[in-house]
Amino acid sequence: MGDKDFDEFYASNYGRFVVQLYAVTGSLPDAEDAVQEAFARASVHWGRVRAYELPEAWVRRVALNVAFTGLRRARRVVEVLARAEPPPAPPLPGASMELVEALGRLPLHFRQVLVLYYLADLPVERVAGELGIAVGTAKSRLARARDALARQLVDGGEEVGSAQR
Amino acid sequence: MRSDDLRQRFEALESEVLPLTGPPATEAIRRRGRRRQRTIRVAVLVPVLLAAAVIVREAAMLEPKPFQPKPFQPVSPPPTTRPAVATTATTAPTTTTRPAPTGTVVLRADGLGVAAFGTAEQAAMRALQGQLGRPQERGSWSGANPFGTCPGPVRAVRWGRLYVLFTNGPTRYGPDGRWHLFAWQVDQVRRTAIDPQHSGPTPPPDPPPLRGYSPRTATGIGSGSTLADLRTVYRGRLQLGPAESGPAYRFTVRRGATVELFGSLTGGTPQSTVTWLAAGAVCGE
Repeated sequence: MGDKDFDEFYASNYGRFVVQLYAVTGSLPDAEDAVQEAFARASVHWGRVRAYELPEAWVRRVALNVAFTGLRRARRVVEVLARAEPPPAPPLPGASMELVEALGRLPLHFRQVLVLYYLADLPVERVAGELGIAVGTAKSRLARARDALARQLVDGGEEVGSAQR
Repeated sequence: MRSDDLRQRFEALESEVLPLTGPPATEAIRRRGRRRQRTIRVAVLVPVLLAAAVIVREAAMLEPKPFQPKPFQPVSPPPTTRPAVATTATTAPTTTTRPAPTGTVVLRADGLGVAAFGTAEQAAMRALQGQLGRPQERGSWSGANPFGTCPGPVRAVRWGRLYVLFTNGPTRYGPDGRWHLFAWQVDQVRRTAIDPQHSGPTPPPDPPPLRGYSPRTATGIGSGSTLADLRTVYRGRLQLGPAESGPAYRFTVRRGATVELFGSLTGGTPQSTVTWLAAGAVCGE
């Protein structure tokens, strides 16, 4: 029963989580690895995770932690090996590539709020819950993030704040 | 750019990325989870096991061990013109080089050669273990103890018949609150087997005798020495008197008003032998 639950949960959420992580990290391999790691951890603790009100929020949180812990470690290596070739970008149409690149120029907290709102399709109240911030803060952050992204998309403007990749 | 436009672009992104990524088999994900779990267990267990091994080793050091007597090696008298028992130094040896292990220590009025009375407990134990190896027994008492009325809490460490006593009470060798070496005793009975709390209507059973390692003074006085030996070595400094009860005799060796050594004999004849010998701020003093 528990195994079947997990299989269904995994099959129905894996792709969506990869897209969300890709939008935040800008790297499809990193996103896939983080999501797989998060599901691997969920499989071990499935008895506990499935009892949560929102198991998907737990997995997404773990995936983000994995992605950014890994990215922080990797960034130090990348800084040393600055001329390392970037991973090949997935073959996306220009508009989507442009969106990913624009997101990459935003600070992490802007990327997170945009992804949760537009890709995870969460209402602002749940965005606030997942990020552990007040609803009002989530609303204002979403508004500022939206403006910043729009500016990036319209004119590929300057970097906003200190983007964390 | 309106919010709806942004939503459309995100939806387009999702529909374009989804076909590019397929979920690995569920079993592969489960295997990855189990592998990670094993890694975590190992990462947790290894330090725990190492810590347990250290604890077991430390505990083993505290347990009595079958005594492996080290052959008594004659010790050259210390490089001084005075008899070893004549000194009353109250400070630790100032030498910083560690002496080579000899398998024994020399009983002195001021300590045990490698550790003078007043030496901090840890330093004294390091020096003594360097000579004698691991002790066979340790005990600690905060109140009544088998060694008499001591100046404070007492820790006793035993090698064969040699008891080395530490206290953090005030003695003439160290201040209150600092654990230091304050006495030694060479005894023929296992005092740590005596229950200091015994208060039954019958007398407590005789403590078991001790055998094995039994150090001596530089002049050869130790457990089993005769009254004749004591008279030969200490001459007029030896004072003798009957014990409070039984056939035993007490003796003291004084230098002026200072008691340097004291102990018990089996009797008052020249052939009577020393059954215990002590020095320092001995309990009951």
